[in-house]
Amino acid sequence: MSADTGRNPRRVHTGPAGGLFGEPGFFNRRPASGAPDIDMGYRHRGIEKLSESRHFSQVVFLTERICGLCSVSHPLAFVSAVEDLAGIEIPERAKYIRTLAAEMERIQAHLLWLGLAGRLTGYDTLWMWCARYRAPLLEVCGKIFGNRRNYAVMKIGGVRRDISVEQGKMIKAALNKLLPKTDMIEKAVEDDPVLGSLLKGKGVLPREDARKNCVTGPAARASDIDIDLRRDEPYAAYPMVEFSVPVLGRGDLYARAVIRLREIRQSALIIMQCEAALRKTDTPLETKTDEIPPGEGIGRNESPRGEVFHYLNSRGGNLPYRHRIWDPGFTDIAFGDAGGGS
Amino acid sequence: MIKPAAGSLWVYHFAASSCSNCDMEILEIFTPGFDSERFGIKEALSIRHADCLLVTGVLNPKSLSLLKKVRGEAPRPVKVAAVGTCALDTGIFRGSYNVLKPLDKYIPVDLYIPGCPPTPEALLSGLLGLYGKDKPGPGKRRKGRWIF
Amino acid sequence: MDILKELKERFSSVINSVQAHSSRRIYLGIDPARVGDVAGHLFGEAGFRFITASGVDLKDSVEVLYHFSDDTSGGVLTLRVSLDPVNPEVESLKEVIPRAEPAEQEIYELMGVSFRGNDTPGNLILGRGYRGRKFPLRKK
Repeated sequence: MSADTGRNPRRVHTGPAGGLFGEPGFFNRRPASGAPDIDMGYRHRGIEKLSESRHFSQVVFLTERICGLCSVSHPLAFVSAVEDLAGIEIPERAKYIRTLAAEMERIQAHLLWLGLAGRLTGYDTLWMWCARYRAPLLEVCGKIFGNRRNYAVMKIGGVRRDISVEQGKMIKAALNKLLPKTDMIEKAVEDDPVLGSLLKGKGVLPREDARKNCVTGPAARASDIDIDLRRDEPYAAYPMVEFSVPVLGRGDLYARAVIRLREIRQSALIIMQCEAALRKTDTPLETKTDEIPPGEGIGRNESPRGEVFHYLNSRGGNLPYRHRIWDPGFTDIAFGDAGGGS
Repeated sequence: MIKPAAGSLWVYHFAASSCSNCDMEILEIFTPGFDSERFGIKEALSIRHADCLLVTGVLNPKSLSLLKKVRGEAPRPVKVAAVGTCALDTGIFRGSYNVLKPLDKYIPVDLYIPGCPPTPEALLSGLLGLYGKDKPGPGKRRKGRWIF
Repeated sequence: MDILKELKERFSSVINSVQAHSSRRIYLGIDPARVGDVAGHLFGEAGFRFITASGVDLKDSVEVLYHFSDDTSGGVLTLRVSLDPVNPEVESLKEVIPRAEPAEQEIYELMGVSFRGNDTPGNLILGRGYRGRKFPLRKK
């Protein structure tokens, strides 16, 4: 966030001019209430309308391009909505691959968040570290899914790509290199007095406010709200793997940084379990789906930034009748006053 | 073919209505893995210091007004690069009610880097192509050697 | 979900229809005049989390759906409000759930449903040129 020194000193903007620092938007601070007045829509592309003119299988690629950080979560939420609507049960192998892709995305998204937090607070070393240790992970994703981002791995009824034993070994090797570095980064975050003074006690989001404003994801868990859809409403292979959900009580920026580092470790644990399970299971990759019946479906999951929610209405036929998308970023923008967190 | 640079290329990054994948790949080229600073390519934090404007994403009416403002403040001559399929020809978002025409219908574009998202290698090779280019882009013709 | 029984007892006259898609996906048809009470009860005493509101244009009516998440046992409870397609209007949930404000604003801009009590000025999402033109998410 940078203060606009132009005509209106209370106008604070994020986004396009700074690039990637949150979604583009403007906040006009109203001095009386202190609550920000929001001007956004700089990234409104009408995806909900576009998806009404695409086939169900094409919408998956459209949902990938809603948000770069959630390019697994959004397609996953959409295909879960279709599967909820049509009552499709997916094969076990597809469940593990979905989980693996989602957790790979979570690790790199959390590292990027942490790196950018370092960059914005002037601690460039942290940013360079995060980017450097994240790069091998992206390379592995590129080798496995064919692209460094936008993996196109989700498909209605299953997944599009298999993960072989060799590829599993590649993932494991990359994670084994990453985990000691995560410890190093965590130690650096804990030890650094400048970062501590910049992050500790800043942007505090009390538990009550977080609940009132329906905050989800790491921001909620850093404010002592113990919610995680992976555990509360298990989807994909999450009921079959073991992991814990870290919760911290402080609710400041520092807690949000630490919680992400801890989640990276849990994600690595989940990926290892998925990789081991993939070697044992031998099921097809997808359940063949011919027709999407009329009806309604809801799909949601825990993206790196919070809860992603898709509502789908079908009238029968090839195209969705209505496709509603909700991204956690909108919550945090609307709650930008206390530095929502993502 | 990389010609020695006459000056360093400082780039400024403008995200129009992107999904931020391209933006992350742009950030990637400044990091140790790709290290664009060895070619003199550096991130400018203000458009007033930039030689090149990287635009990602499709344009919508709101972001177009911002883009015009940003480009108006840029020192001349400024190179404009369209990064990613969305900026090139609006890609998957074509036909939406809130999506305008491709970027080069509004401002002259010197460099097109396709990909969804383009890899950091593609970005670097594209930006290096701006070095030693002696003709200005399709927008305006100037005499003499191009500044880079 | 236990909440279903409780809601049925408490708001028996307000609930028009109950559709249980599965044990985790329940849709309740609600009388538009009383949606504030039901939502307030869910969000306050029952401890549900508000996810978002969606608008659906069904041509012969316009529906607004309020999605609530049960964070303890998992599941989505959806309150469905059916409105007149010509001049859709419903009371705003802004007072009971502050987070409903941006979602309602979005539905207002894209679908033309007006929410009484939510007087946030326009163009949160679309540019100024869009005021008074056709709402993009309405069907013909």
